[in-house]
Amino acid sequence: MVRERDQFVEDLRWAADFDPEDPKLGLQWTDLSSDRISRRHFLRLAIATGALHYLMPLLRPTPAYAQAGTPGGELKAAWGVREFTNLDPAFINQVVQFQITSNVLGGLTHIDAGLVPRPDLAESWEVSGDGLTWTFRLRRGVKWHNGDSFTADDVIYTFNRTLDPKVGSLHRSILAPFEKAERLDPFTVRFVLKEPRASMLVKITERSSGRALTIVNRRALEQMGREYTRRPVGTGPFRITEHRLGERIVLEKFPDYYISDRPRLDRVTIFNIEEPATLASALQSGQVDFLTGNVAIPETIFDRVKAMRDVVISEADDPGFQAIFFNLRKDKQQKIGKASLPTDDLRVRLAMARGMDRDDLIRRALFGRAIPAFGPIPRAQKLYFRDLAASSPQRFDPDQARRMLAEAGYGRGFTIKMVVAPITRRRGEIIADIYKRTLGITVELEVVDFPVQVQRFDQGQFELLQIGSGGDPDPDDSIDDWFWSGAKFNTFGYSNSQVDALNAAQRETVDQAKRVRWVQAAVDLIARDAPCVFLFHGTDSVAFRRNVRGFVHIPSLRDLDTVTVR
Amino acid sequence: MGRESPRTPGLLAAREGILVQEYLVRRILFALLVMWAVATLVFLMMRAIPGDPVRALVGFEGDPAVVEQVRRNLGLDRPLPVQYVRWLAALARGDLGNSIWNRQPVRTLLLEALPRTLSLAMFSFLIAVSLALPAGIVSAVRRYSLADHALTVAAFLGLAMPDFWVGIVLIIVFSVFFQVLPAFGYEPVSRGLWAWLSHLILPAVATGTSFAAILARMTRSALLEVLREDYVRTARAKGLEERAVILQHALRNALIPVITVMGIALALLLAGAVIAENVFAIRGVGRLLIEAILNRDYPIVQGTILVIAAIFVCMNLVVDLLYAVINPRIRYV
Repeated sequence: MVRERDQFVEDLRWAADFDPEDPKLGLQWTDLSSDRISRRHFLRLAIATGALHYLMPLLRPTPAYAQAGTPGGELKAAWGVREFTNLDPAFINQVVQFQITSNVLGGLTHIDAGLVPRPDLAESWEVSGDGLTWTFRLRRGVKWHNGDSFTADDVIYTFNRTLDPKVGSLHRSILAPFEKAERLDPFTVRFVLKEPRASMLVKITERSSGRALTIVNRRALEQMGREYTRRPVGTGPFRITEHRLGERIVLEKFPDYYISDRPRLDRVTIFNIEEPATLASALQSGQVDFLTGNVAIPETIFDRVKAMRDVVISEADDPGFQAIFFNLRKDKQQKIGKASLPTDDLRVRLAMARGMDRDDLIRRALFGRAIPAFGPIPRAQKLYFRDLAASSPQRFDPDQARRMLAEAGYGRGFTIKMVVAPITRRRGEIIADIYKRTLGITVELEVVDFPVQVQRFDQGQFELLQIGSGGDPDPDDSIDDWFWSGAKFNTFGYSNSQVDALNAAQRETVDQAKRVRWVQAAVDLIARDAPCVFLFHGTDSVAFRRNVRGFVHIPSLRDLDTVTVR
Repeated sequence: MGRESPRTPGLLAAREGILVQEYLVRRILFALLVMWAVATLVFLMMRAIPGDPVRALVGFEGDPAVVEQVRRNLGLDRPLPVQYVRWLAALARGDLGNSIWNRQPVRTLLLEALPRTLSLAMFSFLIAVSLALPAGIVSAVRRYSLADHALTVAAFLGLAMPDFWVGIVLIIVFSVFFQVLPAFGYEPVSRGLWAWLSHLILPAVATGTSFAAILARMTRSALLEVLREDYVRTARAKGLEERAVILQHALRNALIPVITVMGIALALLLAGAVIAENVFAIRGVGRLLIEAILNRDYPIVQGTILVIAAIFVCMNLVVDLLYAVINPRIRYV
């Protein structure tokens, strides 16, 4: 309790240069709904939402497991993934990888449990009125795990490295809106952008999911070569002392971490256990005290884990969405050998959206561990999310779905193929069953290995394809990446000029309230055009024994710096 | 492979040594040819199946420009013959290349995986043989007895129970309920003999039992066949103890087919017990290979299969040489 209150006081101090005597940080609900909101209000809003997150525990009793315990000791943890493939941020392409690096590396900002950006290696920042110039003042006295001192040079080096084609960073395109990065002095960095980016602090400079600007150490990279991909050297609370690929990672407390009382643990050993039954047994037998799957606890063992005595489950909304994509491309003949599909008709697509019993799907495929989706914005993006179950054009309404299908001339259903990967096969079978029963549509599954599925999606070689997005803290992850005409994952041929305009506007505004409105307007249009059937937003879950204390659950992350074991 | 010739001691022993040497040289040359063929076949097959390793690597992160850049960096944009020649040239220098997926040298990955697989294979093999030989002998000698029936049922159970199920049950009994053995993982011998052993017992039992079942049935039928032979009757007739008849005369001959199967079993184990490795979270050769195939990680697949091929070739050679030790009448030409 005391810690949360301290944190709130600290937040207030941090906010003091705005309007200290103003109650509620100067924010009123009208500020959120009116057309005009100043950048001041935007920043206040950001602070307020962050602060509110810390206020909540004051209103609700803090769960016992969230209270702090005594420092020291070792945490043994198991991750339900086969390996942490590559921990060099330039090559990280899975959430589980940055779950580890979030404990080891640093970024300019880091999101908190409310997905609000907080200072990490940057102590503070300013953005120009036009949103094009960002100035970050860096934290002083920060040490790297190899003893180097952290300075602006490290930020500039990371920036240049991401852009260097020879490196082949997967995240080079994230820096496309940047014109340049400048070092103003050893502890000040300025980025000049060609066009503003609303997602700057949550998506681009973020230490875990950011990756394009997750700060890396030049000397270590040059000395270690490929070994850096296993044991990256960072500024984070833990350093990696051992990494046996596909078996274990050992994290040890970094004594010179810039927050003096963190991490509280001396050591963390993380084991890779892919088989869910073994994962559950490892926790039950006491060999590990902390368990997480590939993001969430695997559905097949959830009930077993929940029934264990002395085990607590922490759940958070997973920032992502899953959907069935339609092929709307004009060149279908070339791609799939069919000039047209029944789903080219909007009525058929909407019928499939309205005929999808998401509650049934979630109950049977995910054992109830998800919420229905009617758009790409997950509930974790609190500011932008709305509950659309009753109002969405994709809301569940089987009678109307059948009527629409009959109007389109498919009253007796049709047959269509859906591409799924082995891991989503079961889900695919349940989807097929739901469509057969509600609409008489026969969905034939094409089960292909994951790389093949990605390739088929990428090249538009599918009739239906089930896939989704994960680790999306910002609306750009949900909309800008997927649904405008030139979006990097828009391989399904969706194009709506209004969505394009709304997306461009939301992407570049520094006005939070406008951004909320534009994002929501885009979501409504996308749902109505139905380039896909939105299925669900997952639930992110972690299990641990009661002796594990102080875990702060940031959606999709596993930061362990506040954790203790008794 | 073998030819029987009348046993002539003395002078021929030297000639014998030369024969074995020649035989070995020929076999090794042939082995190299086999491995080159396997390597080439794997190289071509991996590229023939659908699924692009670069797409798998980049996943949902990069735009087409990034994909092409990564492809260039990996040299996968080159024509197939160029890639093949480069790979063979590197191979000749002992360089197996680097993983596409995690960028680690394939050599390092294999060197990490091999001790785990070797330990597990040896231990499983030991369990299989030490269960199977006594069981097979008892079954054959006391045919249709209560013991024979019991062992037959046990063998069929061992065959029928899938390894992963046995593994999960073993974990629940010995790790969760009794808490005497670890549920998962591997520790090298350098961390202590018990640490190493304790992590191997359950996976070795899980894999060993099904091989034990096969071997026990093989031993039983081979021994039964031999026990009908004239020389066994002769041995009994000249008043030898039954123990000596079985162990010195019958078993030795019965072992020839059993050893063949043992060789195959051991080679299979050395190629990685994928199921046990998966259930017990041991990153051995089997898992390395399966994961690489799923990710279309060409260099790992190529390197691992090459090593497995080498293991098979060696095992075959060892088995062929063992025939002569067990039955001195077998000669190499």
